[in-house]
Amino acid sequence: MDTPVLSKKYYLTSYFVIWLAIIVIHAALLFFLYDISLTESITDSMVFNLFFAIAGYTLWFVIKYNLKDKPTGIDLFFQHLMVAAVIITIWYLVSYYTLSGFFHGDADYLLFLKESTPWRIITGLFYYIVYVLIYYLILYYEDLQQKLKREGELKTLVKEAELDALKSQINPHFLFNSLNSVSSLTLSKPDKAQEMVIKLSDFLRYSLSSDRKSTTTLKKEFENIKRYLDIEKVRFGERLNFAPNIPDECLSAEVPGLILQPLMENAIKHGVYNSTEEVKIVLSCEKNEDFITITISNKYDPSAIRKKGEGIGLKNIKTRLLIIYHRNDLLQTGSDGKTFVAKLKIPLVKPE
Amino acid sequence: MKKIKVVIIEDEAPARDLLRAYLSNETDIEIAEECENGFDGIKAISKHKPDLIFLDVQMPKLTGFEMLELLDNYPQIIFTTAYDQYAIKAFELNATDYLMKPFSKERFLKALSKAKSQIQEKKPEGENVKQLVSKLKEQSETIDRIFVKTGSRIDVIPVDEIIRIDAQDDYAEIVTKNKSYLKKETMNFLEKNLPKSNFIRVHRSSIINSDYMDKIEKYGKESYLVVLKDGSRVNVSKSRIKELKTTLGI
Repeated sequence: MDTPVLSKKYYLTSYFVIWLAIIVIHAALLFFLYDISLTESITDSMVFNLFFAIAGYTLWFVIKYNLKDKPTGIDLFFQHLMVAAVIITIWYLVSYYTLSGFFHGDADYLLFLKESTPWRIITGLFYYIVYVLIYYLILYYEDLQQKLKREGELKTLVKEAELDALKSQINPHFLFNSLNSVSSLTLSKPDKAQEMVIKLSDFLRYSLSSDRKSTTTLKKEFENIKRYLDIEKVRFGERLNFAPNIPDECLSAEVPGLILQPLMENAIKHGVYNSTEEVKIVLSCEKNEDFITITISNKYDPSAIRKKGEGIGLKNIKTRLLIIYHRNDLLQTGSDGKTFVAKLKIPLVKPE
Repeated sequence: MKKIKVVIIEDEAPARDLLRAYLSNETDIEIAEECENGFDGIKAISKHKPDLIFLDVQMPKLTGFEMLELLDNYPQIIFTTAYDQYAIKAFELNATDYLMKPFSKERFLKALSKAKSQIQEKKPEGENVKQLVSKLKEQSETIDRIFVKTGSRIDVIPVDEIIRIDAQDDYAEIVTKNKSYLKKETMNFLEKNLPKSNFIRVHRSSIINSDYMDKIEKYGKESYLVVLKDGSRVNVSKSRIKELKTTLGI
């Protein structure tokens, strides 16, 4: 069992030094102010103070383990009053009888011992209070340290989670192929290269700044996927044909940040990427009383589809929708064998 | 001096532009053709017999690796890839040269000069690439389509359309509703890599697709026949009848 006194060598030394100082002062007071013999002064001081040093040491366990269910206010006050009464009584009686046993022949000293009782009790009470305050301070400090540590760990966890999320948002394929396109454009069409770097930066900035729980307007989301598709258009040229049709009334709706980009990425991955012909990606939106419904469709080649890796992006979206709206039926996907359709319903009112 | 003939196989236009730009100062190089996909790549290779190809790993329909599987002779190859840890691992194991996009002109020239010296020394790339292809094949997961090359024609067969596969010496005869194809492939590889849910090896020389199964007939004491929807009958070997029954859940 670890008491703070024993936890560090330095604390143990301090504990002894402080008590030694008290013993010396106590003995000196008795010797010089009360005309008590040196032996009696020293013995008196040693007995009372050493006993309290031991009692005070054990007080740690009382505070840490017996009072740990953290009573408050009056309860705490009475509990301490009781503990103080018991400890001080025992301490006083043991010290008193030890000393009166040592010096039973010295009537003057015995009288002094008897008369000084109130002062002894007050001193004991004072020691008790000092002990309790210091112990509480230590407990509070320990608690704080632990809290800080836990908070630190939590922060790292959140960071990792965010990083994972980011990794799943920005496809390395997309990133490196786009950079390769930029590299090519710097030689052939520097203007276009600059335009593309700016678009890519804006896209990355948007991806970095939206966190997984917050929402944004459909307008901003739409601007972001337009940027995304502009970048992809440089890579895929005529193979990619984007046909958005979003009425103005939908644009102000609140939607989760970065919810459309994975759907677009899906459409490109399974539609454009596996095709040598032009693929049209259609984006439309409808608004009714409670929802906006966003529909994304694209043709794909069923013989070229890869089973592997499919659905991770879609699963991520479903999880996010579940976290934000507490519903798991907001994303519906389907295919008629040639066209893949994703229907995303976003409630206009976000639950608290 | 004879020029080095190059074919570029890369689906993204800017990436082709870049390769062309990097090659434009090389007086001893002649770009024979630029291809946007693997199918065109195969055609171009058989037409031009290039000394060197630049091959993108990720391409629509037919990937760079799938394309290699269909080639009989390999030119010198410089692979290009954006991000594919799986492919890069394979290249490294095989000491094949590859360029990670985006790549610098210096890095490009290094790969090019290595390829040039290989060509001058007439070191055939053959063995190296063959090993790479077979290693990639070993690691490959369940296949969902099979490519068959007949002369200059390439057919893509989605596995769902396969009714049965019969062993014919070194070849596998792949039978679909409309046609049958011959592919140089082992039955063991096909058994291992076709989807386990519906492809069953019923005999040393036959794999059937249970989706096209009509019935199982008993003939003789312990012999069974599988009748398929196209009317064909396939022998089931004694040792495999149990497996067949468990797969079908009977």
